[in-house]
Amino acid sequence: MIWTQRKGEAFWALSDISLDVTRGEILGVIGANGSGKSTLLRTMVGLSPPTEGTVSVNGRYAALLELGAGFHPDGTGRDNAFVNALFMGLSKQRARELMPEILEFSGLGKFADQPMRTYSSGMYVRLGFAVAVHVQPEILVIDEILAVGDADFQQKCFDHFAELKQQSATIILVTHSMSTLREFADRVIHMEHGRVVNDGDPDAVIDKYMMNRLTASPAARKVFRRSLEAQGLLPEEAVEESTPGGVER
Amino acid sequence: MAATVTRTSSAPDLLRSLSTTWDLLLAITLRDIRVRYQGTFLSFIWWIARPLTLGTVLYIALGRVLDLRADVPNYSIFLLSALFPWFWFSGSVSQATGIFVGNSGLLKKVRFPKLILPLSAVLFNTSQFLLTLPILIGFVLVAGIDPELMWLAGIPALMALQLLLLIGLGTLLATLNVFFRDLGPMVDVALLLLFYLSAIIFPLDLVPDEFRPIMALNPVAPLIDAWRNLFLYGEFLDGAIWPALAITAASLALGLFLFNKLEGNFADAV
Repeated sequence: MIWTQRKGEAFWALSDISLDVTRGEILGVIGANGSGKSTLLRTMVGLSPPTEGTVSVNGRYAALLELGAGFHPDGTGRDNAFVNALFMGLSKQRARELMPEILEFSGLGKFADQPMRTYSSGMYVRLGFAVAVHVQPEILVIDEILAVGDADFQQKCFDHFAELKQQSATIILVTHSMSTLREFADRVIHMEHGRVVNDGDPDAVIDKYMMNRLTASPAARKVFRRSLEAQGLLPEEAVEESTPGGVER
Repeated sequence: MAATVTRTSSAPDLLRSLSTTWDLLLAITLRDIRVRYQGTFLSFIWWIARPLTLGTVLYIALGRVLDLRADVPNYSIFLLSALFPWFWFSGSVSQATGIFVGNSGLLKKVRFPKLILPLSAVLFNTSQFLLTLPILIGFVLVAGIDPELMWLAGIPALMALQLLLLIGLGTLLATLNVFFRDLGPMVDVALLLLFYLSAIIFPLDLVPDEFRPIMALNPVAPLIDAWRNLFLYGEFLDGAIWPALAITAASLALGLFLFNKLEGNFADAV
């Protein structure tokens, strides 16, 4: 079929990945933009079948890969939440029963009956998230969305994670918020160029990732060094050793 | 290595998912109807405004100015009985063609039966046709045509036929459009062309012999003819119905086959 032919060299968004996520685990995924995090999630939930290899999933999943999926901007929050709940696999009856609770959780109040084009991006996310958590998923997949809600709402989400975790739901979370992962994740994987380069205890993986990032380029090393100096944390000889390639003052 | 995705599911799951799919299809269609017409006081008027306006213009231009009335008895009903189904057809086709590409966000992020999208586009336009059908019948009666018993069988049958044709064609075009984006503008041009090739504004008998084979290639012409024969002459199982049936079956088969083959690549391609 001529349309599916790609021009130029093949680009592997993911390769050599072997990953087991167990029930009840909260897995954090970190890595630079374009390192394959979202593609990994898409593959896991079955949206992009792998070119090679296998994926097996046990359980009902709710994908919340990005905010606002399937929302019609001209529809009201109420209408969209209902449609969204059905998209997530809820039955009509169940969705009707849950609507008051979903709208309550979203905290939209009287805005629930306004068209969504009038919403702020925070309100958009809150409604999307309110639906997703009420689907009572066995597997919840979240791609960098929590940054948008305000502090109150984030707290509500974290409380809900804790609750889901108690019900032994599996949560897979892509985020650039390291503090969130340190607090909630059981395990973190670090991705680079479509591969998993580090996998393990959140603090260990995140510390190494931050160190790498801070010393990845001469410019970054310079900034890192200045900030250490400013805090009086810079023993002269230690820096000479740990910054290969020499940094000019 | 084989590329597979496995998931646990059982027979009750399948049943449940069928009914959920139907609920979802209805919910999307109803939301789209509400969205489209909320805040417009005369929403129903807008549904019938297009066929009626075009009908009036054509009647004056062709019926009175060029005097087609001489060749075609009941020219006003001749036009309207073709225009109402035509707008159902063209609205569905043009809306369905862009439906996968226009919902790329959804296709990339949520796993659901994708066939719902073209179906909802077709259903949306079908509901408009259904609600405006009494207006068309009203015009037919006012024009002095007696209601026929055959209408009771013919109207539901032709509606079912056109619905199936649109599902097939809509799915086919929406699928191809994902991989071949030029299709959108091509469909717009094709619809313009089909409008004249469907013999909506003139009877097929008036078409010169050398153009007949071209007209025969047109997927809607037989269907439009069948609608017209039903309303004008109370004929239903006449010659026009068989090519319409064949074209419907072919478009359904081709549309669903291609969709099945290609839907796995949608998330990466849209």
